[in-house]
Amino acid sequence: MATRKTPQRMTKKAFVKMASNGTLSADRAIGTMVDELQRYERKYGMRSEVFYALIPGTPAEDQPDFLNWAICYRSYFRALQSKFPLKELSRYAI
Amino acid sequence: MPFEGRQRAAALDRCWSIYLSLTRAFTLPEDFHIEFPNAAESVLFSGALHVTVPIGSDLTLSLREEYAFDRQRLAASRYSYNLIDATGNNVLRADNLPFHRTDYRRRLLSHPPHHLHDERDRVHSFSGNLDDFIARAKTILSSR
Repeated sequence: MATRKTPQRMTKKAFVKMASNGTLSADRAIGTMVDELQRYERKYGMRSEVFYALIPGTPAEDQPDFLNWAICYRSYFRALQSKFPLKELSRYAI
Repeated sequence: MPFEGRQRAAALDRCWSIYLSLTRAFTLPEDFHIEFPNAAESVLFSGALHVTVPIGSDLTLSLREEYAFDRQRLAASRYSYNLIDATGNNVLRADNLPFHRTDYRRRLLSHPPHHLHDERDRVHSFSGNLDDFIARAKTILSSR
């Protein structure tokens, strides 16, 4: 009888090594967040900038999509800032 | 980078504890063990963790935590834990948005701003502890 292979839980040492070895590029992380932001923008017909100016901080934020959208939007900016020095980003500020 | 030095170590520690909680509670797909370190690495860029993992044939757990440092201690400044069924409905969700003071029976929340929404979107008290959310998710999973 064939036995099912049980996935092995990794050790903390292996986890820290994998999570900090720099295999994930900032570009890939940013790309994933952009995809998610665009999904919300299409779903609600609203640009993320408009959403962020209107919803977070109000009771309307207490809705799963809106809460996740707000967290994703802030994460996206932090990831951008980690890729580009803040000074360079500020050139594009309106 | 949002986190440097000790902050990076603290962020990875938190991710590790989430990994342990999930793998102790559920039998997870093999992919999860490969993808989770990437999700943890993303925290170092973005300051937030986002993990989505199936925990049964029709239930998915989606966890998001956004981190900040308060006097050198890592804290989840905002979180959103969701248990979603196959049709995309939220069976259970928890967050720390500060818009509720009482539960659906008008009793004060035990640990505000932490609260939980059930399938009918009724507000319940919640500790804010991810392990408590996982325990509830596990109960729901075993009752299906």
